[in-house]
Amino acid sequence: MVNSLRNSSVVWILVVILLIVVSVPFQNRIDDIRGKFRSIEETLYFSSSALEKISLGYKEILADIYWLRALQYFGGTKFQEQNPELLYHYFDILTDLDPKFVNAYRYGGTFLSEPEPLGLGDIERGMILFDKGRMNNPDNFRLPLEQGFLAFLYLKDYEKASELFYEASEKPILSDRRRASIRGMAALALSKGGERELSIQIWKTIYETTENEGRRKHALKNLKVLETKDKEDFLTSALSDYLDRFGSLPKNLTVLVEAEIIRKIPKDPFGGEFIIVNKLNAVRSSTLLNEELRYNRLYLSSRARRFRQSYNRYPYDINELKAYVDDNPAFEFPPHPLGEEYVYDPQTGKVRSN
Amino acid sequence: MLRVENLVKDYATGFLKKKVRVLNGVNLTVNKGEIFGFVGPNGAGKTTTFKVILGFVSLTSGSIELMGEPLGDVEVKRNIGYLPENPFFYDYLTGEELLHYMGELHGLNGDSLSKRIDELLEKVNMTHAKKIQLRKYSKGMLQRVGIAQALINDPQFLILDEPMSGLDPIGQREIKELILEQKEKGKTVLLSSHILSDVEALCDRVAIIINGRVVKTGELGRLFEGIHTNYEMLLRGGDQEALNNLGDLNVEVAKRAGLTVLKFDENVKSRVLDVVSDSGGDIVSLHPLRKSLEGLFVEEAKKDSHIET
Amino acid sequence: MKAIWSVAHNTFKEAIRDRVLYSLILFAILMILSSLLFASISAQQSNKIIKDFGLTVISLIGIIISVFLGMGLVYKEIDKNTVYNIFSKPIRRYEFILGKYLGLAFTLLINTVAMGVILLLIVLYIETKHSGIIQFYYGGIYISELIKAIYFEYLEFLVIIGIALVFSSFTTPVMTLLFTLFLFAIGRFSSDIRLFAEEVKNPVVEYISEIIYRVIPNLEKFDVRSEAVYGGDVSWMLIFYTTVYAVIYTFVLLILSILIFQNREFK
Repeated sequence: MVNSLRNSSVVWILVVILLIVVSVPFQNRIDDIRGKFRSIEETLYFSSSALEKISLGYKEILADIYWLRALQYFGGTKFQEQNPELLYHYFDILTDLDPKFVNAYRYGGTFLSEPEPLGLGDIERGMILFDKGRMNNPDNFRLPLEQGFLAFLYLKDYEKASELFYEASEKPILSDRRRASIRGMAALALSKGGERELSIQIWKTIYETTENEGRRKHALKNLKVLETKDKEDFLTSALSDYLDRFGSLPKNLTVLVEAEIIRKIPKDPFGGEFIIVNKLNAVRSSTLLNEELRYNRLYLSSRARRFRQSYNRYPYDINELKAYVDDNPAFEFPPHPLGEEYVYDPQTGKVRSN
Repeated sequence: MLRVENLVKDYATGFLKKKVRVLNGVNLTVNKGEIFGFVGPNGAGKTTTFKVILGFVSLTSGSIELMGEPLGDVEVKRNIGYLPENPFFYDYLTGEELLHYMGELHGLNGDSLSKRIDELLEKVNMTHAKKIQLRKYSKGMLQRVGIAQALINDPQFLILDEPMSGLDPIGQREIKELILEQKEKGKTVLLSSHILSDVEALCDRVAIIINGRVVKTGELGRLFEGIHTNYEMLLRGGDQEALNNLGDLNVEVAKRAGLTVLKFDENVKSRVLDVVSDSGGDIVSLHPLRKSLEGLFVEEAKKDSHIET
Repeated sequence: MKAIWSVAHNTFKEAIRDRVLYSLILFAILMILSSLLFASISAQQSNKIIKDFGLTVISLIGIIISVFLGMGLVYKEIDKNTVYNIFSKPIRRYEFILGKYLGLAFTLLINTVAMGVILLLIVLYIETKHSGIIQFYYGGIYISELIKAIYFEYLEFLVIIGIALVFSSFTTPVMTLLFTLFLFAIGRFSSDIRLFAEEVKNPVVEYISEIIYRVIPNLEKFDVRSEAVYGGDVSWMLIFYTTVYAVIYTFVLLILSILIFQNREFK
């Protein structure tokens, strides 16, 4: 009798497993209809004061839960529609719940501000989050320092960057060496022509301090770009020396070595080569050139699409597109890096170059 | 009616599931139409035996046959009535509702059930409390309702765990009459008690259980064969010297509250009586100390410990 | 089979006499008072607030009843020795468990319907009184969504009673309370586990998370409260799938309860 009971128990446990398996397609159908992450998206619309009450005083743990959720939700690569507004709201709540959560400001602010694919490219909201962080954590030097980086690199507001660096340098926690280097950054940010030097310093700092692999790579790439630009400038000035001396541009760069203006042609850190842009009397790296060209084309094409959203048609010609782009004070019509004209197709709204 | 053979029951207790043997070889045979007493001190295993019989707990080894069916047959319970020890019922039900619920579980319903409920409440003298919620009942009232619910299906076999407990002497007599009435109807009754006098006047046969083992089974009178019966006599006055000489007959003589107390064995009874009447003493009382279940328990416990050591 | 109904009936009777119905009176008073109060101070949002508040209170009261009555469902009968009376009668153990479940499920049905009707009446009153402004703010009056939301809440109760019953059939009420609330909390956050599973690149962790997600009660699926306020499609298909899910899950819980209870000793 005991045996038969045991046998029937086994049968019933199998039935339980079977039922759970049967329930899976129903779960999936419900998820399809309602969205997989509905509850998470819904909680985004709670106000933080309501959450504080819900948390029954365990605010910090709730902030931690929000933090983990934010990391998973926004850190994922699967989410096509990453919404900066949502992310800002999330971090705003999170830092209301736990105002001392410095890393939340740093992570959220940086992620919001940095351009794609690293971040969401919403520098204004990123700055607001950092401002809030500085206010709530007046002793922390990282917040103003990193906000300064963002202001300098992406906002291009050198005055604000300088102020932020100065603020960071005032924090008592810093060692003297560190303080001096940050003071140096504050000065460089304001000096004319100091941009590249400071940029290099900032990217070096980011490269050395960040733990995020993607950001490290990004910083390294930026350092290489800056190095390449230095070399471009060096070769361009050699080129103008040659032009001054001989009245015409050389056929290629080896001529500069032969004329003993430079000792040798530097290597392109990206592995491309330096070429002479005749129309601009300048030397450019082929890698940077191609990238700039590609970026400009994509940007202009996207503006053309935006134009169509407003006017139901693509711009008639490149001039109308140019006028539309220049209308927005925040942007400037990017010149063709080879000094040529873009090729624009009014049928498809696509911008090409020949 | 019921046959229990070599029943053994272990309980696993505590965190480490240490095994404790509660029943250690219980043998019982209850015949149809008899009243069978199951007697033993508290904690001897009477209730546990009932629980195994009714399937509340599993058995470790042994075999049970209830009304010709092996253990675990639910249908058998249609013909069984059971009164648990210290019955406790739902606070929020009235006496009538409880009986109704219990009747429904037996598959009874409608007018016949209502009639049966009224009859039974009348029989256990609880008609007055029919509409009162059980939480307002006294212990004795609960016991009466408990007996009524055990009888709800007019069972062939009645199992009563300590039916007299919680009742006053009048209640006890009523229940005894009720049990005898069942016997007259040809029903079988198995009842347990830790008080021998409870079963004395009722039972055809008795089994005595001590420490989880049935040590004696049979007619009550025969159980004490071979055990000497002592008498105790209380005397007022009388010639002290003559009484003191009783010591020669193995009579214990003591003084208590101005009376003389004599304790003696059955076989010297007539001689002691002669001496006492000669001494001119006044007999206040004379009663046998025999059939003391406690005495038997003590004796059996001694045997047990003897075996163990 | 009849024994199941007897047990269910008795369980229902016990719950009702256990003053469960007071919660209804409390609910009615709370709702009416709050609707009067909110209507005056909520800047024309009383409709939303009443719905939010009402649906939340129905859910909370229902869950509290499910858990607190569910945790004593079996334990109390064993603790108070009433099982000895029950099982000396010709009733099988699974019949007892099913009866207990149905009794409490029916109690909650009555309770939920009653609270739902009270809420519906108040909402109807307010919405007809201010129908213009509500149309303006919310784009419609979502009475059927409100009813669906209450129905979904009831499905959640059915699952929670089942959970409490499983634990009640082998452990003490305090432990049952803890376990049930724990599962409840996990169930309400089930999509976090889902998210975790999708984000973690480790296939083993992903696999385990996926299994956990499938096995725990996805209580989130029973929440369509925001649709009742803001409108939104609660389709018949969704109702069908969710109902089937609740029923399957409840069956699983009942089978587990019976398996445990079958081997339980009534010492």
